[in-house]
Amino acid sequence: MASSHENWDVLFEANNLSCGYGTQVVLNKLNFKLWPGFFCGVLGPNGCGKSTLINTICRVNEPLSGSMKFAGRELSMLSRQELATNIAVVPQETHIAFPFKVREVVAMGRNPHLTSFFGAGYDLKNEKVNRALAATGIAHLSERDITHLSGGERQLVLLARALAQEPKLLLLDEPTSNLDISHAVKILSLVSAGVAQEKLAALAVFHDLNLACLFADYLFLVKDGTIRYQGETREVITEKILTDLYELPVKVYSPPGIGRPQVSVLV
Amino acid sequence: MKDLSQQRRIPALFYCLMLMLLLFMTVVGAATVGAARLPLASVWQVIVDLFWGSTDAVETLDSVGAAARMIVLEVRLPRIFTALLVGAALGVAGAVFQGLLLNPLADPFTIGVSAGAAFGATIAILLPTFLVLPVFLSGVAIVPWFAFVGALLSLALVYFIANNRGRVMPESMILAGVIVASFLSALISFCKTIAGEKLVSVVFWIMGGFSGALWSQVLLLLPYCVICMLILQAHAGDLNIMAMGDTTALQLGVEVHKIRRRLLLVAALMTAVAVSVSGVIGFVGLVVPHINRILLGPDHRRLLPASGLLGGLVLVAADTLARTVAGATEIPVGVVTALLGAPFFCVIFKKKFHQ
Repeated sequence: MASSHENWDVLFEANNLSCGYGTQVVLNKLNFKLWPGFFCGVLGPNGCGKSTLINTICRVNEPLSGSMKFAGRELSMLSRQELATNIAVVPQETHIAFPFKVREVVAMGRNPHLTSFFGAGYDLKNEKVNRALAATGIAHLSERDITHLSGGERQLVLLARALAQEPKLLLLDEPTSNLDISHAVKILSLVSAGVAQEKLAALAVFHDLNLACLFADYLFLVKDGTIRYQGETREVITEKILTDLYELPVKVYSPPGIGRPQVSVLV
Repeated sequence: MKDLSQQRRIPALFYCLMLMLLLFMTVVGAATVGAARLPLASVWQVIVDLFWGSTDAVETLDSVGAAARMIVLEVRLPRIFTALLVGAALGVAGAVFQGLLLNPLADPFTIGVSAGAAFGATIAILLPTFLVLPVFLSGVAIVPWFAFVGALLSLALVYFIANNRGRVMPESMILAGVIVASFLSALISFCKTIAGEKLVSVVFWIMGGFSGALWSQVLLLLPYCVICMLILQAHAGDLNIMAMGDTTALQLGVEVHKIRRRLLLVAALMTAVAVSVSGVIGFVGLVVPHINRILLGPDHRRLLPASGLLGGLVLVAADTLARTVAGATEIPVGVVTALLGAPFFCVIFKKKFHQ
């Protein structure tokens, strides 16, 4: 595959990366790269280790073996704080027990940039907090309690928090799995815009095949603990590959006007 | 923690200034009332002299003035300041424990520090019955020191049980605290059965009180508590982020396990010293942070100083009631805090949480 992006500076690189818990190997010897300005998607059946991959890249879980490089440096050499200035995560669903205001939650994204010897710091009036609130269109919610938002609004807040971190790599763990289609499209469009304009690298775990087809430039298809297929979306979204992945007969078609494939299950 | 709908929050600075004003008034009021009836004017004179030190005025005092000065300066004020510091320490530690353990029922005693202190104190009270104390210990107030060592040992034990390769999970800390506390309570009960005439002293110490407080105690407490509070305040922002859960906090650059370990130890050490000088005073560390959270919202950067001020205020007021309402008999201050605190908190709880 001699795609143009092969020549770009690689932002993140995994070599023989194995992930899991203790003695249980979930993902075995993965090799992949992430580039700035590319929206990469991860697809695969439930329980194939997609979330484990996200948690390993942001070092909530330590890898079992192999190496990860971020902008040329070993990921394990970065401090927790450095890591958070470079990699931000939008989680799947977060239960927030305390009634923090939206602005307070978004401002927490500035923490890695402001933490000092004297502990955590974040500034509610920070310009970057305002920018993240505006970019995600939730400035009008900034004084509301997070516990009182709808699922879609809450997810926008968590995206705003991740953007306030000003990361180079944005990880999304099924960010839209509990949202209606309009909120899902809104969130993913915002990520797409960040990828195109700020040259972010994004890696999103997708639940929904068709959303992945619409937004991801590049896809990793995971099954049985390995990346079974990877490539540009158009190359890997084929009936043969998807049938192998999900063990279901599918039909791939190209709706006019969107220039991207869509998938229908044949049952 | 139940969410508090569209609560309007009070501006934190205004709230803290109000608390300081109230605290000052309570301190002056507490210095005025007591078994000996002193005129307000001479109490004021002593306080003004204390802060603006016009020592030459002392020589011109008449006998009433001199007695008032003696009582206020050597009896009431050290007691008031001890209560203030202990209340502040319990308030701040309570807020930290609730934030760290993500449990609304947590208070400074949740992890068993108080049981350790009570056991240490019990030993110290009973010791002279069974042993002839070495000469260098006679005349020294050994009870607080034994209580402090007991608190430290129980903390070390709880930490040892809960610690899993440097990681301390909130649930394991609570469980370990409950186990150690119930074991120590059994030991204390055993000691009580063989205590004989010392039983009353043991029971009174455990119920908490400030009688016999000394300036030397205040001077030991003050720097210790201030240093602990500064460390805790520095990590108030971390506490906010950790309230989002361990995973999120790690992703936001917080060294969750290191910070939790540090905060647990500092808050427990502060509780240990508070318990050692005052006995087990319940309710302050539980209720004060809750009231502040209702009024100010969940931000620990405001919650900790406000809980220190309100804790100090509540305990000075409670101790003043404890030594005055029943005439010459002192009521244990822990009884006062629970008797007044529980119904008061019930009212707030019904009003605010059940909307």
